[in-house]
Amino acid sequence: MSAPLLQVSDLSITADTAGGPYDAVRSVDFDLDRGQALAVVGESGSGKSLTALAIAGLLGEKLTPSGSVRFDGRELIGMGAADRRAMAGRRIGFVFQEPMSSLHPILTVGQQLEEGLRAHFDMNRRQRADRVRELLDIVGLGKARDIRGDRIGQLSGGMRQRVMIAMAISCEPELVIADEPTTALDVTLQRQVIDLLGSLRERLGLALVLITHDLGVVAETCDEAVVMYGGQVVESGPTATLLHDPAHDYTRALLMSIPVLGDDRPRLPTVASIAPWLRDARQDAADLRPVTELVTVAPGHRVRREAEGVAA
Amino acid sequence: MLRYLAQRLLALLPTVAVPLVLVFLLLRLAPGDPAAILLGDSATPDQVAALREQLGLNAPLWEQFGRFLSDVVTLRLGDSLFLGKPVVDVIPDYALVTLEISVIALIVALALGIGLGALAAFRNGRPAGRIATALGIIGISVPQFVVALILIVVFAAWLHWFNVGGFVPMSKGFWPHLRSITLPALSLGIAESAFVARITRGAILDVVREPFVTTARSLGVAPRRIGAVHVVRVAALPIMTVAGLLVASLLSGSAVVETIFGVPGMGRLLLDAVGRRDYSLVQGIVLFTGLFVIIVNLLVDLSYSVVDPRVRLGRKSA
Amino acid sequence: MTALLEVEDLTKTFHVSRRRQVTAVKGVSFQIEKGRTYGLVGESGSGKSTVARMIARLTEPTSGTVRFDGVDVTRLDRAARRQYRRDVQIVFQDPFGALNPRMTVADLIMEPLQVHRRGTAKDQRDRARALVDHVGLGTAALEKKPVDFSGGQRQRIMIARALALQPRLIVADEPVSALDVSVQAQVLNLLKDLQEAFDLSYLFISHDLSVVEFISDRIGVMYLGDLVEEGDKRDIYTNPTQDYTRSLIEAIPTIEGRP
Repeated sequence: MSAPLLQVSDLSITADTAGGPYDAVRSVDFDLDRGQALAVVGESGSGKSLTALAIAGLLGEKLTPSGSVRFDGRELIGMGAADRRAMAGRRIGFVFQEPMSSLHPILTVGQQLEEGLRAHFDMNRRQRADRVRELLDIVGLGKARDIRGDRIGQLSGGMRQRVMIAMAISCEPELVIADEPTTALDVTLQRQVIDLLGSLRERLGLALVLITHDLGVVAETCDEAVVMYGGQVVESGPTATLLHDPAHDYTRALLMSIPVLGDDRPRLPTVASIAPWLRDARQDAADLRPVTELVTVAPGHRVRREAEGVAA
Repeated sequence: MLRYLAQRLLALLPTVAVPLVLVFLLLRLAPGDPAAILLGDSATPDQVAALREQLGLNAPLWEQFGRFLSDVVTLRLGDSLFLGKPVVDVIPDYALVTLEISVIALIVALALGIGLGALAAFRNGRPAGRIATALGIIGISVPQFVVALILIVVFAAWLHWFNVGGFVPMSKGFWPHLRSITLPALSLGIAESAFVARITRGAILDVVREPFVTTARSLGVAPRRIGAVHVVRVAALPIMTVAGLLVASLLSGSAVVETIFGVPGMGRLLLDAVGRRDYSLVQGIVLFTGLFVIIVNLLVDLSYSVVDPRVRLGRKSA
Repeated sequence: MTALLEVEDLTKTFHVSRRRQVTAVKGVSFQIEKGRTYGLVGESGSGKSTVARMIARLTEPTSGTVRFDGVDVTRLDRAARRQYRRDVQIVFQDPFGALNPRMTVADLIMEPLQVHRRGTAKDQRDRARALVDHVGLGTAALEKKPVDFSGGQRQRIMIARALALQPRLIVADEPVSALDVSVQAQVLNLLKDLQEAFDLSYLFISHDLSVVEFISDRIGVMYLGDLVEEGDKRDIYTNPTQDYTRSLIEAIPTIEGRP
């Protein structure tokens, strides 16, 4: 069995805030094999987006990552800017959440799709144009009118998201990180994007890290999942296990509090009602937090529990 | 593009009407009889009456306005009271000097302002950036005449690179002419550059924070290219707006530097004309300046649409 | 049971430019019973928000009637219109933009009472205190400003504000769409509790069929301005008659995998 494509160990992110340094993400671990899909699940404030940005090397100035992120054996944390740039887009692609603001408002679709190509390949104009046409075709925008000369304001929401995906895969990366790619979309568009990501994975052998809060999307796209809460991983393992036999209270609470079609319940259980002891760890001073650790409860299935035999 | 141009020209009409109406009313709202004002204190009642007749001042107002408009279009703007020549003959030479100074000042203001502003933005928080920002703030607080005086003291009085004052017309040689307008142009340009720097810095900082810049980074685009291609196209717009406003500012500021340096430009001409109640000349200069600024801003509008085609494509593309 | 709200042939046409017009809502008809919830579900562009705005009288319909308690609300005199505005309140989607950041929670809740001149200042304060309690925020919240609260809490503030005038119908336009999953559950529960406590009727607008199904008694499905299907919530799910409804249901990603 070949080594994992992505190995995240003890990844922490500290934010430099007005009130002092703040641990936004603490000690995240997970592995991803080539061609595999892993979901990072959490709500706002869980640190899932920051984790994704840290892997891609896109954190803002006030955020400092520490720990280890190994991609194909190379350590990414602390890598020089030039090396990072060489990898960005070429080996790791990123799909952002809001295509309306994540795409350039004035440059045309064609121009934007060429940017990655310009950065990594030595292509002439004709070659770039061909590749752009090919990319639009791959994401299903090839048959309708030629949108290469359009600006993003002229496109519909679904089309914008496809352009975003086309950009992310433009340089044939091995890993694509998608940050809430379906959240801003209607249900039918969501379905199209999920299907598109699936077909791209098959066709291009992509590994996928999918950031989302939607457990249904996780169920349909990812083999493995990591659940984050309060900046930490609280449970990780195969998707099927997490969704049908969760070991952590938060995961369980999350599952139970979602309304599903055909639901008969008069009230929804909430995280607060199922697991009232789950407080936002940020509210506690560091020394008051219970010491926890990730415990393996089954092969590949880990849960965060209070550390045994440690005085609180 | 042609359609956009036509739209802009059409929209221009109400704007152009404003200086025309104001100038028209200027003379008639001034205390006293317009004809008497035009002829000055030494006029006899007969002369005044004759002029009234000649200028059609006894006709109803709207008829007078019609006459006024046709006069403007045919460039019959009357004679300068004190210079004894037709206004349309007086203005061009002075306008040319002011234009020369203004163009140089504009180039200086934009080059210095954008350079300083970009430095402040890209090195934000670091020493170079902070100094640049501070210079910008100081620059805005310093009035043009202070800048002018400082330049005079340093470059003319101490270093003797330039003469303290005195204007050399083009006829006496290109380089001496240029030397004589350098300090005035520089003072004007430096004074206005501070504002450009502030706007540039703000515009760039705003754009750099936008998500689409992160997207460019995620593709591995080099920082230089991100700045030059992605950031500039969006940051350019507010800077261009400022450049357009700058022209108006320069034209009015030129009066100050022209007076200090003794340069025969339109600003100084206007000041003198106002002081001497030379109404025809004032009228001519105001009209000229007003229309000039309007046309410059039209050009800025048109160049907007080149940088950001969404402007001319309208609702469809946004 | 007589319907509290009857909408008949409601139509709204927007004139986008001199030549083009868009009919956002095409002859929509439905009823809302007293004390019940009608869920209007559709994707963006379906016209559901426009319907909500017309019922809340934020936009005038191009044609059609809206009858509240049997009375046509499009032709009311001033006093009756004011009463209607008290009877029908609206709760919006964006908890961050819909509350004036400079006002305290107390001010925000009392504002509708002040505008409609209900009660003395003391009465208004008392009412604000009671409402904050009803929505599950402590009275300590009264003196704070929106910025001190999370999205879910702000939504509760909006609901408290909407309850101030003792409305009979609340139009909720995507009230939980911007909230996290766990908070969503809390707000949905709260809405149900309040409905029981105050005999409220709801018009609940959302693009999320699961959420709509949970909270509604009857559901209407909108597509491009038309009300394509309508029925009791169970029927819609178990027996959708229209293709569009079926495709909506099938598109939802579920935990079991493909439905």
